[in-house]
Amino acid sequence: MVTPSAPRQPAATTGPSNPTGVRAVDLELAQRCRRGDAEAFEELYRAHAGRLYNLVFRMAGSADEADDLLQDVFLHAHRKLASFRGDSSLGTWLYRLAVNHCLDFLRGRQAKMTRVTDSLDEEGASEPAAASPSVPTAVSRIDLERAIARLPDGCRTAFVLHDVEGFEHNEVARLLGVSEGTSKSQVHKARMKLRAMLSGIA
Amino acid sequence: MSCQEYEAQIGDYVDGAMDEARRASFESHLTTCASCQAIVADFTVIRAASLSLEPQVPPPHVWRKLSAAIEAEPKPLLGFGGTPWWRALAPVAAMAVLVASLSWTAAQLTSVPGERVARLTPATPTEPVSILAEYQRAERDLSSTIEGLERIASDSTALDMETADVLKANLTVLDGAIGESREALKNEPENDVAQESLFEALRNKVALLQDTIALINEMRKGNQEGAARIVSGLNQ
Repeated sequence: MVTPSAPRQPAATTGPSNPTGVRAVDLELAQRCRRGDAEAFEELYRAHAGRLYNLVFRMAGSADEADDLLQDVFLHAHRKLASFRGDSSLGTWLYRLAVNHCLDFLRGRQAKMTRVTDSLDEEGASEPAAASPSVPTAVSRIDLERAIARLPDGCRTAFVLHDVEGFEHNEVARLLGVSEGTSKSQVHKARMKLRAMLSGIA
Repeated sequence: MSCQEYEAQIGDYVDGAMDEARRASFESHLTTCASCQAIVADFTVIRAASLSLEPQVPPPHVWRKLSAAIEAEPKPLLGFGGTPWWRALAPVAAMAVLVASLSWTAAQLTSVPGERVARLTPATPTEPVSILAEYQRAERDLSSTIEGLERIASDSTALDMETADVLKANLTVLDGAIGESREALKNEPENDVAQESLFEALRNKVALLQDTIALINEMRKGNQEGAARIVSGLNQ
């Protein structure tokens, strides 16, 4: 029997050991950026670009789109830094900005497509369980990345936030503006699709 | 509970999100259901592999394009190396006052009566009087100029409150220096160091007010570049 793994604490919501101190640093960095300090903004980019790129890369499903999205997210952040009040860490603030930006992008992309694959708030029906597909225990990371990229936007978003980024379902639900049940069903749907793809069935 | 209902709970089981009772019931079902066992095994592999995916690294061209895009964005009004102009002025004003005060104090400490007049009056004994008159006339002119400039600069609605406050603080520093110099000159009208201190502070005040007015004008016109040029001039 397989023992379930312990839930992982999501990095984006992991509180710093000394939140007040960290926020003071964030506020100072944000203030320097607002003054037009180019070095401060590069500092901000270097500190957060990697984590945000992971998110946008997997939410968008392609490197080209991820590059543009990351640029847009930071450009948007640059314009919106005046609204940063230090209620959360700068990392969390940027992360939410990136999630919202990705969702807008995905909605726009979906609107352009004549074939709507699924909706973010759709109570997606699970894939019918395949007879007995078996995912290789040593699944290749490249295969997994490709399979994630092939997922429909809606369930990929929930899957990336939950299984890759490590958020709990209630947090995914808040970030996406959907119910916790929807988050669960979308992640389940994504896992079933991935299972089929990685077993060579789809 | 049907197998399909158990299947819907596989996610919670794999995520470790079941309480003891639900988990016991689910595991009891697993012992008899090969299909659910297979899904649990596959979901567990997928989840573990997803959590350990290699981090993606943003390519360098993203930052290059981003920094170019930000460069093209309207700039906040900045002065010395990214510092707002009004903050940059604070040390300038403070330094002017400090230099003036130090030189005046140093002169007070090192000079002896008669030397000051001698330095000012290398030619004839009547010269200090005419120089004093010139100083007084020049001071009146400068003070008059300052009054006019202050009237114009007092309408600083184009500047934000914080900027106006700091500007006011800088002017207060300069006014303090002017007041001290004048006080010293009351006791020693011919004290050339006090006179120099006074003129230095007056000139600084004129320059600060002129720049303030020019900045207000540029801000009213919405000309960030023009304002930046003025700030750049302050740097030199």
